[in-house]
Amino acid sequence: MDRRDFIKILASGLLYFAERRAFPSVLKTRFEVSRVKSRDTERAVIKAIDMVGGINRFVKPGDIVVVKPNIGWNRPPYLKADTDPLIVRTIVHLCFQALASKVYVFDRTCDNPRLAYRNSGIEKAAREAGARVLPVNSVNSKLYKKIAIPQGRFLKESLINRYILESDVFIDVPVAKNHSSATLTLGMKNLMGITGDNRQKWHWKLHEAISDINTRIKPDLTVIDATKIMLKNGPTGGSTSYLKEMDTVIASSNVLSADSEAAKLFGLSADKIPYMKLGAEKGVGKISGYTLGSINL
Amino acid sequence: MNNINYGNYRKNFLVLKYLRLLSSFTFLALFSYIFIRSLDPFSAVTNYFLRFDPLIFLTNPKLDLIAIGGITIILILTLLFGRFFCGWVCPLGTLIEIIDFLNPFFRRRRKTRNPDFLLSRYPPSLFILAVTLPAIFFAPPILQFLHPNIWIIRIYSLSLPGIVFILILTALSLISRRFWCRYVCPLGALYGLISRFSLFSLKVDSCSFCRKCNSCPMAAVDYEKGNLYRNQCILCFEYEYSCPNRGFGYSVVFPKTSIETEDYSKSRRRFLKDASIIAGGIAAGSLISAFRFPSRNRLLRPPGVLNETQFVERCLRCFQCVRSCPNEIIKITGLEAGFSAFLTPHLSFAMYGCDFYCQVCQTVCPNEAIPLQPLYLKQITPIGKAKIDTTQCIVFKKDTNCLVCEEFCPVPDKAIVPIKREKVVKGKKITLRYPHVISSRCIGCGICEANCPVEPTAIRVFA
Repeated sequence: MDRRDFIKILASGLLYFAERRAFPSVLKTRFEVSRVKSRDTERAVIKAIDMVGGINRFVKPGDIVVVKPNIGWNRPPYLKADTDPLIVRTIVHLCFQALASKVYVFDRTCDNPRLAYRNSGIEKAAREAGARVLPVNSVNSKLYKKIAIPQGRFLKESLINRYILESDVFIDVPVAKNHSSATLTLGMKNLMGITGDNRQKWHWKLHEAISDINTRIKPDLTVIDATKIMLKNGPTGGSTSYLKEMDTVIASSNVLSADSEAAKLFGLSADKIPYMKLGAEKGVGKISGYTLGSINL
Repeated sequence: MNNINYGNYRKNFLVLKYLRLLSSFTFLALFSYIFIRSLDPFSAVTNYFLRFDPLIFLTNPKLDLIAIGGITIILILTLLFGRFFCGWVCPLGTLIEIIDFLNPFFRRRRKTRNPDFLLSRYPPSLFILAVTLPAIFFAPPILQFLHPNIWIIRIYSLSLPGIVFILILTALSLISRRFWCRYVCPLGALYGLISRFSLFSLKVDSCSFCRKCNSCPMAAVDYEKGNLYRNQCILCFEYEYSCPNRGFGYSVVFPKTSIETEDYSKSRRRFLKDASIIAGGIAAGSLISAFRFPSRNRLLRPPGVLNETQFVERCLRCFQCVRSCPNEIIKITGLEAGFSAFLTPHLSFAMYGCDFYCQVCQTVCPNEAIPLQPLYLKQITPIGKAKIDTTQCIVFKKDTNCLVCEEFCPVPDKAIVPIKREKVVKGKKITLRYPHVISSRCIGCGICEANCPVEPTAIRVFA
């Protein structure tokens, strides 16, 4: 090594540390999927999103954001049939911190929307955080737009909520539960709440339908509420004895990767769950082999 | 005769008139507020106008201290001041007054028609009250169609009977003012009966027979004889101030110095006539009650109703539950299930079933026809039982997995369970999951029926 090379190495090394000091986030390790375990749910959400690139990666100043939790059922929050209101609130807060112009929160509920929105606690939490909570039903045809699904095998076209289509960022916030027909309901299954179709008929080929819609609509960010996972009699649940405390939040920019990581919490492998397997075949995302960042706080 | 300060005569009666208007409109506003509040499932309340009601209380006597207290206060006030309820409180009375005020035909005829004072002395409403009394105890639905504050809920809920009723009221206002209150209303008759013995009363001290008081909305003042029928006077103080003779007085009266200048024998004759009217009414009511009106077919009743007969007895057919149900599954029964079930609520699951965590109908029911249960009891009390029609169900019929009913079943340990069976379809071996209802767990909430994707629905709830 001559003097010139030595100076080159020294200079580049110095430059590297100087840059790292000036732009720390750029060089921070970014994972495809993050799994954070903490009893402090708010902190877990922030950390999990941080580990997949931070909220600024997804929400740019002035963006219109849709946060879609699972508000399927008129159940009190402790039964975990719906997403934790605290998680929804934290994500809405984060969006506004990233200077989002508007944040919409809605879901097409299975029970009466008025009751489900209120009793799940999500309406209040989201409103307090500054989000707009939209009433959604399948009757209002103005709310939906018919779009084609080119890769679809069962669904060739579907009515999709306009707010999803017209927003800049779509954040999918499901709750991890057992589901009688779909095995598990996670991020991919949560997309059934954005459609205006007759969802009951989707059940005739449920796995195909879920994977089909996921080929067309892709959430920018998926944050899975696995603080308490429902192990049986889902998706309605109804007893705290069906719940298992996991205190985990999973985040990913790819919905399928997040789902297959969450499936592991139930002791299931993603390729045993038909809609995830079909999703991987249809190119929704990686079912395995993603980079995983996992920490306990 | 000289107990009134003449200088203040006009002023005093005008103050009473405006106080009464203020009071009646305040109570109408309160009633409307309670009704509007009950449209929101999260602020639903029981309607106190129906709870603090002596006639309704008799249909379901219970140890409800608040209701008993409220009714006692109203009765004591009636004994003190007379039939104040009709003029100062009754929301339907205020509504009728508004209709009368708006009716141009009536306004033209206001002074021309002379009422029949025999009807004021022995109002038909007394007979109607007597008819309803046995009906209350033996429960054919008669009071339910004659009670003023039930009608106003029907009007507010914009139901067909309510609209018909308001048209009838408009037509009646062509005949006379407050026709309903004068001649029909049994609640008014009850208060009128009590007010005959009230401590305070309006009285005619002197009369020059000028007929200015023939605008009395209740035809309570007989200007030909200078009499006043206390049972009809609702203390509206509408025209007393304008009496040129300054002849009215509102003060303590004792039974001996009755304002009706009747001698003892006349008074006894009158008592006998009243008694015979009431006895005749009770006899007629008993006759009607003797007929049984059995329901022809069983209906799905709102959650918590256990005893059909008791429900039909207690149900006021006020449509409050129909209007308050957030899922809009409570419908009004027509005559198809027999007269006893006429206008009672039944369930029909169209878009939603009966929500597992909702108790709005139980909260708003003013007469505990739908009893308010603790939530855990409501969640295990069956409305009916679901049955799967295997000729319709797509799993049985077309070998396609579906199981929406199982997914939506709100019972924590699932009243619908899948039964797995393997079947060879088109040379391929597939696992089919057949739905099966466990009848002992099923609460008949109808959520499965409402969400069944097959037309016509393959799973249905039967009473």
